[in-house]
Amino acid sequence: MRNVLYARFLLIKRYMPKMIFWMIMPLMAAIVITLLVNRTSDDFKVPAALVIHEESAETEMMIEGFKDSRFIDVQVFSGIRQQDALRKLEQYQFDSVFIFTEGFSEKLKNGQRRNLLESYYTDRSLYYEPSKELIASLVQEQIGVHTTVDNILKLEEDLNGGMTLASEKIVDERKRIETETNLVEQIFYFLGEHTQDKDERILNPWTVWAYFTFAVTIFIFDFVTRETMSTASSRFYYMKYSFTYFMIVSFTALTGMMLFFDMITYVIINNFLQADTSLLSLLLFRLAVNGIAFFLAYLMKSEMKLYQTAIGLTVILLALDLVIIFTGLDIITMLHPVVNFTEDRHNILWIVILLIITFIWIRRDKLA
Amino acid sequence: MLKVTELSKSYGKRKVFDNLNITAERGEIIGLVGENGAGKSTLLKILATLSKPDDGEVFLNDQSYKKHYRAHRKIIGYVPQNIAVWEDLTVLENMKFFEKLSPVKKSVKEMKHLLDNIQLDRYKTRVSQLSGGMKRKLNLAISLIHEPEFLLLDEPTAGIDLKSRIEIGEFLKNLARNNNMLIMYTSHDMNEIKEVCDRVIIIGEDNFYRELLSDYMV
Amino acid sequence: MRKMRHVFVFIANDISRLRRKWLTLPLIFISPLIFIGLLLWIMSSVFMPDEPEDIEIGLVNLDDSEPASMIVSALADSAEVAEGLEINEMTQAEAEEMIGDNTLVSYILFPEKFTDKMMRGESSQLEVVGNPDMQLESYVISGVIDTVVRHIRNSQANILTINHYAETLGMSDEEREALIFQEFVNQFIQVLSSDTLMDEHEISQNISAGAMYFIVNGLFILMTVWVYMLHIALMRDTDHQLKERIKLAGGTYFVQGAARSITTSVIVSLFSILLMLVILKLSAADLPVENIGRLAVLMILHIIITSILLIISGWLIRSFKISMTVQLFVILLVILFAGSIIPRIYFPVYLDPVFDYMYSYQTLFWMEELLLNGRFIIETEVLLITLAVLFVVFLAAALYKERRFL
Repeated sequence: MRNVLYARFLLIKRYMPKMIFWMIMPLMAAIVITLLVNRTSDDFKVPAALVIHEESAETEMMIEGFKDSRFIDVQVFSGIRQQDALRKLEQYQFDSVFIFTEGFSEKLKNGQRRNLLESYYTDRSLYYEPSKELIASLVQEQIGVHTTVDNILKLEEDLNGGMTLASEKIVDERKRIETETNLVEQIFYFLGEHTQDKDERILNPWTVWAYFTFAVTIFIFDFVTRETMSTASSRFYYMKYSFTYFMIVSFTALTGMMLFFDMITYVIINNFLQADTSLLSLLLFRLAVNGIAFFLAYLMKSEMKLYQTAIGLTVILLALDLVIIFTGLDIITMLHPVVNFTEDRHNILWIVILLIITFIWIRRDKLA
Repeated sequence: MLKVTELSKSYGKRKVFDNLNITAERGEIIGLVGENGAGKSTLLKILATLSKPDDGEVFLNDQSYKKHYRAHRKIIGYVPQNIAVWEDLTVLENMKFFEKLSPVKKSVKEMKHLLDNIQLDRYKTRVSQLSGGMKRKLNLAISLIHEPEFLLLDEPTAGIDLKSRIEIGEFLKNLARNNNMLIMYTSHDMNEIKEVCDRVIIIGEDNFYRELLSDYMV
Repeated sequence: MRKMRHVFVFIANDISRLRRKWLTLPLIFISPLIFIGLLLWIMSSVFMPDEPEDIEIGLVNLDDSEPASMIVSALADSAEVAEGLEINEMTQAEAEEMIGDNTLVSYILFPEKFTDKMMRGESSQLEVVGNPDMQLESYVISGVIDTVVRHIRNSQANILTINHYAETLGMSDEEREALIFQEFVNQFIQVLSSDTLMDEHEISQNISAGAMYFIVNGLFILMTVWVYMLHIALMRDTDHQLKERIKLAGGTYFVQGAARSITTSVIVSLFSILLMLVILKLSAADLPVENIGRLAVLMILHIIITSILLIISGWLIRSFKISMTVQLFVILLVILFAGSIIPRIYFPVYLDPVFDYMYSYQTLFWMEELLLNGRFIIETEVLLITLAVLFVVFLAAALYKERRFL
């Protein structure tokens, strides 16, 4: 075994620096891309317009509440410029326009709940619904506060016969209660998974890492193609160890090395990017991807074809990921190594398939 | 040592050779000649256990190839026509690589000695930077690491300079004599065949070679 | 002229290679078509839903108090939490079964003593359980559920305020509890009528252009991806000696690059324009011939520029592996900064200037103007300038490669 390992090292030592670069590359990519996306994703905003026909405390609060939102870029138009705003909407320069007409605050105070404001959107408004919900909840809150204040004042009158409480004080008290009390919370999870908070992150670094790892691992295994297609491999018939055995030892050694880098990756991504994954998933993913890469490389006739296949397969997997998100088709999910990894489903199916292929391959070699 | 009985091989409808019979003993150098496509490499591959005949049998040391080909591979050395070395490694690294996998162990000193015998002393030069002649010498040297008893060479001197050709020829003669090795090889160079070989086997229907080598006919 | 002949030799070589790999060609052209078509169909049904079926949400009540039952019933009875949504009360077992059958998108679970804790201001948790096989729909309703919960929190604050003052004002416990209970229900019912809050209007320049928008984007992405895939498929590793032969025969980098660009551009243009004509025919769009011509010009310019970009990046990076990866990123950036996947208006302000100079954005923009807005002119300055600049870079890179290697 030692001899085989030494022979393997001899053959690969000149490619080592490049191989190590490729082994580290997915981690680098995961870090860079995740940081970039997380940094800039907040800058991606939905452009929306508010048209204000009357200036009042209530409309001020609407504007403030809307501006507070992380995902909306608000432009405020005065009433006379309503047509400007609508025209821009028509030209798809805004996602939506919300118009607060004259008498808005009056309607609010009277507890009116129908057609308090107008909203305009287009067939390309990707974020109309969330924007609408935001405005609605702001309005609701306002209504709720007004109603509460009215109810309390009425209560005081009923109970004590007079009104000594000031509206502003009630509002302040309400605010205190809101911030200091444990209000109801919501937790979300998918049936069958352990209870966890919904992942608010836009991009899971492990997903980025996994896709890069898939492509890069195939790149790394290009030596299998090179050596299999080389005339020198025919010499193995006369050696003590078969070419198959040589390759199995090489595969094992290289996988061990990659697992070492994977452990480092695990520590770094876990600690610095705060994204966890299960070690078992990671191990099985590595084994599955290495196995796939190895057999692909073994079957390819040239390194160029292998690289082309690596890119092609990675793009296909990316596309299938989207298909899974939208359709949830089980059969695709079961065979998608990256999705299996990121969703902690392990890659048992792939391991089984690869073991069967390995068994057949070794048998064929023994019979040759 | 070697006994070939009624060996036949066809590729599709084309019969390459039919009812071929050969006997050979250790220490002999036998040349295989014939026109291109006559079947020399095919025969060599069969004798090297890399291909199966359609009919007939081959015996090495009285043991049939059919049952013992794996054991035979340990004592057969095959030098293919294409240079089967690792281009990215140096001369010595190539030797070390195959020594590590070989059933016979050799020290670095012994390997260098082998290389010296074949006039290939550029141990640290990468194969990709060697001349054609040097590559062929290395091609041969690697096949000798495991000290085979039966050496097969497919055009070992194709396309190389005269000096290297002579050096290889001398080397093979020494091998056969000093190591009691049975050597069989193909070549298109008649002078070389006449100089190096004890006997010649002519493959193919063409009488051209028969006339040329009438003294050496099997 | 000799150079032209050489170019044709390489073009013929590329075409014969493609003919030999006859299986690859459909793979290159059809598979992205299928994927992008599939994605478009899915995305358009998300953004332009015309499903008659409502998405169903379940309500599971584990709190057996009277307020909770009333609230849950009120919620379930409410007709309009949002359009296209149906809310039904059910047991937890029923909910889980329906999720298993994929007839339920998710359910909201009111835990035991929920209302009790709520009214006393103790922390309580609403569980929202989603169907893992219906993630898209979960995404759609999650906003609504968020809203419902946000309203509940607001209501809770209101109710607790009322409770606080009722106590301060000396109300009896019994009366106060009744009052709180009543308020509770009122607040809940109010929450659910948010749909009537606004008078909603949908406007656009051209109402029927909805689906076409996605199709134009899809065609754009497709032709860009085709350029990349054909470019990758035609890549070849020639050994050093063959390279020498080619050079001696007059096959300079410029010649080879030009041939590759022409081959790729012609083939992809043909397929793209054909597809465009098929789309126009199927959608019965009545486009004047001049506009079809303008569309073709845009597409061809875009394809040529993209192919030259890929060739230049291939030359500047020696390693095939790295250059393929980099080229993939280039294509993704070309598509991203065309405003295709994320429209320009959603981009950060500091990235907005990029679009004015980005050739892919210009292509897509004018394609949309022609197909969706009935324009009769296009502006090709950015495209032509980009082409000119890239051509100069192409020449420079070819010369550099020629001097540097061999």
